[in-house]
Amino acid sequence: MSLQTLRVLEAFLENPAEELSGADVQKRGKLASGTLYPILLRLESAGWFVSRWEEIDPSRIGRPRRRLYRLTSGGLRRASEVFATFSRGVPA
Amino acid sequence: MKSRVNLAATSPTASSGPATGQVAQWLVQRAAQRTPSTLRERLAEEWQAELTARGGAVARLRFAMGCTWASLVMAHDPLAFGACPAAAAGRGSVSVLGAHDSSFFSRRTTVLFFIVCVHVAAIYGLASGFRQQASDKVSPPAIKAHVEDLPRILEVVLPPMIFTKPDVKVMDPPPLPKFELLPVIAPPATVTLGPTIPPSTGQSSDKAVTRVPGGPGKGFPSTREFYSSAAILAEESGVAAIRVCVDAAGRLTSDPIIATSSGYPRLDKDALALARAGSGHYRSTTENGAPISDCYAYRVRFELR
Repeated sequence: MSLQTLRVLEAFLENPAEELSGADVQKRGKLASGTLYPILLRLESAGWFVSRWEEIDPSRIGRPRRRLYRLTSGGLRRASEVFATFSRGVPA
Repeated sequence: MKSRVNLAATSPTASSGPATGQVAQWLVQRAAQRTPSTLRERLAEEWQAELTARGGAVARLRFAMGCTWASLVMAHDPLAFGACPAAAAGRGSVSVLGAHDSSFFSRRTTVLFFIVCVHVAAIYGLASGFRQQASDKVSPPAIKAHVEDLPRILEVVLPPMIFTKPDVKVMDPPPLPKFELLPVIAPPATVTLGPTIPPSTGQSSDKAVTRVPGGPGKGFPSTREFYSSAAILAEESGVAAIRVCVDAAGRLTSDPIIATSSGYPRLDKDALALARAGSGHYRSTTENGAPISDCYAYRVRFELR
């Protein structure tokens, strides 16, 4: 598992119940978009994440709806197992 | 479709430069078109929304280029991204852990791409000789302008040049030392020893010995080399007589001594140094033509011309 994947997981593990958009994860994990989206989609394909569209009215809010990602229970368990193998988390 | 209508209202071109916004939007659309068909519409909308959320033109361009790269990664491995909605838990660990490291691929490919670009640029520059062309295009007018201005500037700024004969005094050349090896002092050039007179018999001997005294011979060092510069500067000149003892081979058998001083310690020292350096080049004294060991004196003249 790459360092970038660990950073994505760490961004979600700060608050596992929180739903994050790609921009949020990018900001927390300090990742480039070219790196972030393949990881997100791969983890989603593997069942670690689920995603849904933001439930807003774009014409009223004035911006398009975003895609929100959330850890699944299985993803949370596996991510926790991965980080348990590290004694000091992800290096900055 | 609803979101696309809204996209038009919240297009990035509304808040940033039209060209930059359009380029970024075009890049994102193009990137989304490259992704697997099951993700195409979703990513197009998702990336457009994220693009809108970006603040500046540079950030949007960076995001769009990142999306382009992400689409290339996904196109490279469509099986890993083709079935996103299927939450296949059993497949998950294999897919995640076994997937290729896109960031590594990105870094390596970026570096390779950069190296290739640098090489292409260098080869193009060398092949086309653009530097030479550029200098040919730029330099001549500039040089021409300066050259054309030069006479006018010289006329205005510089006073007329008048050449006068310089008043130069010709200095006398410094005195040169004059060197001279003088003949041996004491014995005459040829000494013929007369027959010894027996004390009481009154008979004379028939035998006579022909003695030729020695002196500086062939290959003897030049006195010029031993006239010290300090003595020359002090304008010291004079004649020193040196006494040497020389064997049959012309080598010194003892240290030479000053027989008569020149009057200057420096010149005496130079003369002794010359005498020592000449060892092996002395002409030995002969008796009846046979070389013998002998002691004799000769003079060395240090003279300033």
